[in-house]
Amino acid sequence: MSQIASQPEHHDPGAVGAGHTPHVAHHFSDMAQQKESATLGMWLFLATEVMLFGAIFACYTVYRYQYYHEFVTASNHLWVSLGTINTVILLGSSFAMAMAVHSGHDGDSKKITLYLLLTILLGLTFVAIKFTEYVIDYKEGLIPVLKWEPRLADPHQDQHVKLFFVFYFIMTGLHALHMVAGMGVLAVIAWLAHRRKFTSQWYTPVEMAGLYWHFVDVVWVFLFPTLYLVNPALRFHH
Amino acid sequence: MSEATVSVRTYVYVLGGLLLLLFLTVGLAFIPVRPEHERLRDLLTFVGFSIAGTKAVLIILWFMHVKISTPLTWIFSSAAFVWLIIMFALTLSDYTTRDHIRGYPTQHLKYQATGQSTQDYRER
Repeated sequence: MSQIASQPEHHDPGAVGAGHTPHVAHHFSDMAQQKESATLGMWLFLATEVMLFGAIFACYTVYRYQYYHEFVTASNHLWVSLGTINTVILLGSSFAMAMAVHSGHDGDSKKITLYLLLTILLGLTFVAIKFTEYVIDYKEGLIPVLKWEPRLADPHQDQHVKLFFVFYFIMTGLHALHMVAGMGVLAVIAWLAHRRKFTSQWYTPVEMAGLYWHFVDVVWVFLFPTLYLVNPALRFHH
Repeated sequence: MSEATVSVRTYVYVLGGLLLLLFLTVGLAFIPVRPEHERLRDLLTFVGFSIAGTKAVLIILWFMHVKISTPLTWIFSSAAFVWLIIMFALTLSDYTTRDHIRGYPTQHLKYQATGQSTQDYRER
């Protein structure tokens, strides 16, 4: 039997081995094994992200335990309404992302592109609202180092109010940075989908980008109650 | 490749569930609790973070497809969170019990924040 005749037709010479369907690399026996490998690699990366955010959350928790009342005072300067709206937007973007992956499964390139663009649009809205909050914070003098107006008469206690805002800007800033990076990745994938690079057989990049995007959503799901809902009921007791 | 998938209907239900839990957690946070009812406040905080945890699990299982993934993926995806829980458990078991040791210096830090003196605490 001729070797050449048994070679499948392929578009990507670097990623194809003899007897393989396109998109399955040499060292994988089939598509399922290749996809599991990609998924595990992505989860391993996400585990390092859990460590990154987890350590900051742990630091925050310790300080909140020790300076609870100052943290309540600080937290009640945040806009719970804007935080809630942003959570709705981010959950919506995760839904759009899930639909993009679903369209990948159906091999519908047009829908992949549309849902990815919707995801990016919602992501941009989130970042815009976040930026608006930062501007409000600046006007109200809630940014440590840059512009700070004391919130408590005792300077020692006021330091702890400031500490909350140090955490607030590091945590939300790092999260927003992840959003921006994610939107860059999604834009590239949307372009590839538009160029019809994905099929129902192979849409792994869409799925991997989805894992990342959902993870950034999970981080926000914890950030929201951590920063905005320390004890919002207390603001009515003054 | 024949693979399991999640239906659009399930995605809609998951999104609905996530939004419901969000409004629930905001509502709970606004329940007025008198400062002297510290235990109830702690309970509400605990419930609030349990809701956040539930939301995370919903996203991870359905949006991130772990529900329909291989056992190895289950291990990889849970490992990070399991270690995170261990870190929190050990850290908090230290900080939250320091007050139990009479005269331990850090209780001064906490009771300074509440306006109580260390002396008040010892007499309680």
